Amino acid sequence: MNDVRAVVRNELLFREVNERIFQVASSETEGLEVPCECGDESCISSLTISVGDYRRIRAEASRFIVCNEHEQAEIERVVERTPEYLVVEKTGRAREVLDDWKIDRTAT
Amino acid sequence: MGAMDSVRIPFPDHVGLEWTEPVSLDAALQDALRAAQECAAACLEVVPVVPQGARGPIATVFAVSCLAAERLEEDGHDTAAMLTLCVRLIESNLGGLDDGRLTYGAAAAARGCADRCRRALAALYLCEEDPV
Repeated sequence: MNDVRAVVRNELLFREVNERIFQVASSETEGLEVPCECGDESCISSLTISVGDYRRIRAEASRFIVCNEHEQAEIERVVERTPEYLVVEKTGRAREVLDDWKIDRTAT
Repeated sequence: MGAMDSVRIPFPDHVGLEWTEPVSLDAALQDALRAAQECAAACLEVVPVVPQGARGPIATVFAVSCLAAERLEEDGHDTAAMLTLCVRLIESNLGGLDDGRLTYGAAAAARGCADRCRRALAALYLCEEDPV
């Protein structure tokens, strides 16, 4: 992984997009269609997730929702597998970068 | 008919010239900010009335333009990663805005705003890369 910071930054940008989608388009009866939150800056895949699962996963700040096979073993581990998506959790250096980012954002 | 009569030079009637006036970084920033705000507002108007199954693209374009507007307003510099992500996501969802269930006026307006937003964000990115 050349630039862990750049990867984590991309994932956080995707997450911010998804948070806004959740705010305007969530429905208890139908799934939410959101962009994949993987760190690949060229990824334009999307996935469908239930509102309940989205809320549950979002409660953990170190977890991201990515399409199947979009996980990056160097920076994250898969904690949940579904036919539609994976839930990954940041590990190692990526976790440190993510924690630093949260502190920075909180401070500003 | 002599040999010279058969020679035809394939030359166009006219040669088109295209030139885009360079804009300053500040002008590009203001244009991108305005386009993103307008796009977010136009999409937000449409999202609630679109059938659930067709909401994905319009909700994504709303979210992206909203993010772009907020970031450009609060900061306005060092935005390359955000701009490339926004342009890419709007581009990949523009086709979805042509869904048959989005045929009324507000949806058409949202499509126009999304395209303008995409172009303005791309222009800002290029301007940041190579300022006038």
